Amino acid sequence: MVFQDEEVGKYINQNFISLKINSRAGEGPALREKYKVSASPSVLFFSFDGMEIDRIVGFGGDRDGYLHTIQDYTRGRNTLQDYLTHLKNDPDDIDMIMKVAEKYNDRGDLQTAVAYYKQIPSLDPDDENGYRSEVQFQIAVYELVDHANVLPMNNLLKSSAESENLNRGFNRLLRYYSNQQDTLKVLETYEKAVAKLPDDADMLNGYAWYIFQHKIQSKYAQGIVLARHAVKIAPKADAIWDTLGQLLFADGQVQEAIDAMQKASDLAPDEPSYKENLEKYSKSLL
Amino acid sequence: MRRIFSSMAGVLFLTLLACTTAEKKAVNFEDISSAEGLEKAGLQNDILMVYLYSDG
Repeated sequence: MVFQDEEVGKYINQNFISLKINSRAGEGPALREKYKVSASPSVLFFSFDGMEIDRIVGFGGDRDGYLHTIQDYTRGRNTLQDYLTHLKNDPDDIDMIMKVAEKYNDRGDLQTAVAYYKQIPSLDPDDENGYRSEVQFQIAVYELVDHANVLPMNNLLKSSAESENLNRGFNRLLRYYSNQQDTLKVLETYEKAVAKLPDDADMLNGYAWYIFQHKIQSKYAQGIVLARHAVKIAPKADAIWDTLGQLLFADGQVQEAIDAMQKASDLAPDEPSYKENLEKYSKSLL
Repeated sequence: MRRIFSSMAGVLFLTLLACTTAEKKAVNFEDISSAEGLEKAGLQNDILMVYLYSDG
C-alpha cells in the first residue's frame, strides 16, 4: 500500500490534510456521486476554497510515479488547470488535447472529454500521434454511457483486432447490459467476446461465472468447457478453479467438483468459502 | 453527519484536525467520526487530500 511507504507518507503529511473515506459506507456514496468517482481507490485533491485541483484514479503499483504525481500536484504541475493553460497558448497541441480529454474523463465529465477527443482526428488525419484507436474507443464509451447508443461500440468491436480494446469494449457492453438486467443481450455479448478472445481467461471465467450465477442450466456444459479452458490458460487462478467447481457441482458432477474446489483451496488456503464448498460437496456424497 | 457533505466547505470543515500529522511515517488519515466540533482556523494554505477507498 503506497500510503504506508515512509517517503510517501512523510511527503503527504507535510503537504496535505488527509482524509480517508469508505466510498461504500456512510457519506462515501454521496461523495462518490458528487465527484463522479468511477473507481476505487481514488484520491482527490482540493484547494482551500473547495476547488478540485486534480485526482489520481486507481493505483497501478508504481510507487515512484505516484509520489511524483502528488509532488507535481502540490506545485500545480500536470494538473487539469496546468494543461488548459498550455492549451490556451497552443490550441493545436494534439498531445495536450489528449491529456486534457483524459483529465476530464477521470473526472467523469465524458461530455467535455469527448469534445476534446473529437478535435484530434481533424488535427491528425494520418494518426501520426497514434491516438486514433483510443479516441474511437472513448467516443464509443461516451455514446454508450451517456446516450445508451450501443452502435459505435458494436462497430468498434467488429472492426478492432486489438485484444486490449476488445477486452475493455466487451466489458463495457457487458456492464451496460447487466445494469439493464438484459440477460439475453449479456449472453449474446459474452458469446461474441469469447469467440473474439478465445484465450482471455478472465473473459472465459466471466462468462462461466455468469452462467453459474444466473443458473442457466441449458448452458452448464458450455460453462464447464469455458472454465476448463480458462484454468488451462491460468492454472494458478483460484477464482477460476472455484467457478469450475461450482459449475461442476451444479451440473451434478460431484467428484470433479471436489477436485476443482480442492485446487482452488490449495491455491488460496485462507479463503473460507472454498473450504465451505468442499465440505458441502463431500457431504452430498454421503 | 449527512448534511455536512452538502458542500465541499462542509468536507473541509470536517477535516481540520488532520493538520498535526507532519512527522508521521505513514499517511495519517483522519477518521471522519472523530472530526466533529472542529474549528475552521488554519486551513487557508492547505491542500485537502481525500482518499476514497472501497472495502468490498
